[in-house]
Amino acid sequence: MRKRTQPRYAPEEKVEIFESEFLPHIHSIYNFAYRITFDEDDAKDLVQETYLKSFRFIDSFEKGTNAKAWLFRILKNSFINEFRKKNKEPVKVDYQEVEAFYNTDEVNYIISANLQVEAIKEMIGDEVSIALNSLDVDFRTVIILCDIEGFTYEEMALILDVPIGTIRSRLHRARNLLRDMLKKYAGSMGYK
Amino acid sequence: MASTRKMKNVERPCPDHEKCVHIINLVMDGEANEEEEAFFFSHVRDCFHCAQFYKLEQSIRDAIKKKIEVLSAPAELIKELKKKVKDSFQESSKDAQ
Repeated sequence: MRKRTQPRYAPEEKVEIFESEFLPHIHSIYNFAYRITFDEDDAKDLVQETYLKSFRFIDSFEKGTNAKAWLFRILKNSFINEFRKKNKEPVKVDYQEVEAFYNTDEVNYIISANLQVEAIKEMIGDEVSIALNSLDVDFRTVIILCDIEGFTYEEMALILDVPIGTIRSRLHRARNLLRDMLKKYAGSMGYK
Repeated sequence: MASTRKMKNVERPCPDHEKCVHIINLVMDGEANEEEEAFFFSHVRDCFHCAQFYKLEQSIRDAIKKKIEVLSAPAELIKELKKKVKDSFQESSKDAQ
């Protein structure tokens, strides 16, 4: 975060920016915080920390620019610095195993794809949530940012502080894993 | 996509599926350039394998957007944040005087 020696905004203007540009995103911020922590209290703490930091460093925010991406970036940094380190490392997924599955099951995939589409359409929210929640937090994050929040790759790269190429490859892996999870559910529903 | 149009190679896997997957995802994410979009529309229309992949991906994206509950921030959290900002504003106003 860029530090400025001179305040950019008067105190009244800071409050106005906070309320008109930052607060409208609080539901998205909370939803994201909950989806990466799975804990209401942690999500509340993370949102509070994010918003208090946003106010503290408001002079480094340019009024009228992308407040939502700016807030998500603060949240991501807070999550890494304060929350993630106190938890255990998440379980790593064997990507090679998943990729091998896709490479050897092409024909079956085509035959069953229509049934899987039907199965996914019939799934309830809980099943989709469970599949999303089962992903490693880095993969879950890019799916949420892209598919739920509608950020562009460029915005995601800025929020997560990684190159766009990393966003593309992370999304690709995340989508493969999510598809695998949903296929398992589809199988359990009798769509094989 | 012309769903009624007869597709070629119905049961033969796409020879370049990996490249197609990449482009299909770019198109669906709104990140494809003109060339990639042109490839998508010309290829997916005729390739059964890629068309199936496209439909499956679309159903997954729809499920994520429409079926996952979007949680709202608790009202007391918003109230508390507003109060803290207001307190901070009052402190900085005092300092300025």
